[in-house]
Amino acid sequence: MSSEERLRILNLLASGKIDPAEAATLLDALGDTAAPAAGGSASAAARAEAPRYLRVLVEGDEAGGASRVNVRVPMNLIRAGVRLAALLPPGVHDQINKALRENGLDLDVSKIKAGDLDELVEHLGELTVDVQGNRGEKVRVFCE
Amino acid sequence: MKLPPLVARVRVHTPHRACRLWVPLFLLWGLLLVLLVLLLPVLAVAIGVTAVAAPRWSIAPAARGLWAVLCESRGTRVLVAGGRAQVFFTLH
Repeated sequence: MSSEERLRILNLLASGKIDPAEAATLLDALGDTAAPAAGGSASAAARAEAPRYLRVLVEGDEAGGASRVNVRVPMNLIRAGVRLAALLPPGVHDQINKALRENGLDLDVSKIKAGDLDELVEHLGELTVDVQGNRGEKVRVFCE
Repeated sequence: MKLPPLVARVRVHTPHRACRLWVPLFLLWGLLLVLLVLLLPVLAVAIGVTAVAAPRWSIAPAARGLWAVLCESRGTRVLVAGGRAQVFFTLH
């Protein structure tokens, strides 16, 4: 729906020519026709741009030759793992929270919802981590 | 329908030896399926007991989640190289 049409309906409501229920009906009617097209193209574009893999590259110097680790993990595997973790019963959350706190991470996993984690994984696509050590070792984490 | 990884490839290179392994996981899934069918009565009892004794533990979503993790592991690739030795592992 264009903002002009939305504005016209709101003006009609403000001038008292239509009541709020009629305005809501009109907004819904316009929204139903326009929203799927816009939403559909947006989600299609997001799907096309969505990264498929999380890559972790580690290069280090070692006596006797360089060491290297190159891992490629499908993003869908991370999503599936996150959903599986969301099935943990509440009693286990306390144990995880305690273990996290002991390791310096004050986080309440019971407050993390599956939807939030999905969003987090979606945004991993924008993540790039580059770390370089003093002795020439390098760590790169990115999505592709 | 999503399928679990059907083949695993393992490649090992050392200065003295190089070997490539092709592991037919689809045979393993077939064997597990037969085992699952044979153990179905035992599983049914276990699910029933769990539902009564620990209602918070829901087996069906957990099984679905595990299956999803297994299926989505296709495409995983791990390469570890140290010195002149190298191990490469892929799930197809």
